[in-house]
Amino acid sequence: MGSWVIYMIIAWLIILALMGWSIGRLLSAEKAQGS
Amino acid sequence: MAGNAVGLGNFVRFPTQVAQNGGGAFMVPYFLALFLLGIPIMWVEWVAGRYGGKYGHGTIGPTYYLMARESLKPKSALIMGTISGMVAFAGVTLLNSYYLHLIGWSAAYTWFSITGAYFGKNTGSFFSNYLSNHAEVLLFWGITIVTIAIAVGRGVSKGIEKWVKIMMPLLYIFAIIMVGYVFVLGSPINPNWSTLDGFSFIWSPNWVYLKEHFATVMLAAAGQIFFTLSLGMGIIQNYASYLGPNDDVALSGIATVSLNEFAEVILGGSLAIPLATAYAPKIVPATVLSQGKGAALAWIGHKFGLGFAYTSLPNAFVSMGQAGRFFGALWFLLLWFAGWTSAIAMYNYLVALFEEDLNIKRSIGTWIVLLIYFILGLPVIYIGLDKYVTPLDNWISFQLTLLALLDIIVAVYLFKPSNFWEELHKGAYTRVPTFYKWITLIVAPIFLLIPLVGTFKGFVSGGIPGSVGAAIIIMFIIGAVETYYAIKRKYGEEIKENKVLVKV
Repeated sequence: MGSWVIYMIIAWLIILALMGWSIGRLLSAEKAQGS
Repeated sequence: MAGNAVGLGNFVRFPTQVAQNGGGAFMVPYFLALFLLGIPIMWVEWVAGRYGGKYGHGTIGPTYYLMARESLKPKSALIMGTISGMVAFAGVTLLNSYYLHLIGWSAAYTWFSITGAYFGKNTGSFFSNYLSNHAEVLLFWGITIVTIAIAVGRGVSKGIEKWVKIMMPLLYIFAIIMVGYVFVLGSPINPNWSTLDGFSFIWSPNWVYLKEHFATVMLAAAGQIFFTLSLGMGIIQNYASYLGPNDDVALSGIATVSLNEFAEVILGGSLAIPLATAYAPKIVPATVLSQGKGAALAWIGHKFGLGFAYTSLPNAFVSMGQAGRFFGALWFLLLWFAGWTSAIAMYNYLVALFEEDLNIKRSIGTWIVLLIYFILGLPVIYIGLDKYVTPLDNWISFQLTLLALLDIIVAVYLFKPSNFWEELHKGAYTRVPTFYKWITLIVAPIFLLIPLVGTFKGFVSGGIPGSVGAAIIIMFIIGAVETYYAIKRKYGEEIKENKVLVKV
């Protein structure tokens, strides 16, 4: 395995972090607005 | 919105673009385009749509007229609105002329999986044979466009939403399982050709290729970002026009982008390319195989164009034995549904255009759009992949990028950057970092101009076949006339006086 594994993991982690942060925050903001 | 954003762009067009543009060479500008273009343009289009909605507009022409009016006199704003509306109209119609065929191919492959038609065959030749069977292509494409027209005409969005809530999570789950399967599949037919080699092709930066094909790869990367996020065609503006004036757009924009990128890069990027690599010895001629993995994938990408995923993925289902018939059918059905729902959003935009702009009844507008789609879709069948679909798809990358540039010119600069920034934060659940303002104002336009300038000469000096060029010109003319008439009909008086009269 070459360095591509590292590049792939970094890219995946960035996308997952962005997704987790944005959707988590969106859900909590909508929950707060609803209550 | 995420249901609309996730579609064939992720699982079909993305791997094709990666294969055609040097693998790792493509991924470098792709990621730059994601953060420097995708996210900011998504915000621009959400802001523009919500702003247009305040005036009761869901289409680009009148919306961009209003935004341009903040800096220009109504007569000049009319020009900017017309140009933007023209590009959006041409973009949606031309894109759908072949996108609807991809959905039809998915319907066909659902059937072929059930019947086991491609089992035990060369999947490349099978795909080519399918395309040459015009009656069969017409049948599955016809089923697709007629069902879309019926759904749009009857306004069954609520019924569809229920299905989206079931089918989209199912697509994500199935795709995650498939990615796991692809990782462990290894080398199914030749020890020198493994799925891991496909991952290596995608994730090893190829600087030499990027340097040699700089403008083309940049355009392909930017175009893919816009295509996959439904940007540069008026769809996002149409969706956002239904929002309230204080509904969040900042965080929703990022959430839409990230969900789509999960589907595209992590799922879509881990299926077709690795599978195409592992099964290349079955599909690619020996002379090309001897030149290496990159050459083999480029060959598949250029030979089958947007059929790339349809030549590689079936092999995975064949490897599952008889169970593969069920899983193949389920996969292509989910893919069909994902494309179908995305197509409905685009269809709705065109119907809204006739309804709002030209006062044409929804039922009649639905049939007009169907007729346009039918006429524009015929060359895909009778002229084919090489001479029609691939050059048109390349042009679409150019056109989406062009509208993104117009987004920034009109909805940011002419609307005034301070207005844009203020609108972006109205009701926002998050504060957008200030550096993104500068990315939107300075970095993004430069990023857009580089591939536009670098590839324009290639397009005009013979890069587009005559049939494609004719379709583009006709759609531009219809789009310009329609938008000009729509803006004049609503704002004729203030345009005549060249003075702003209507203000919400």
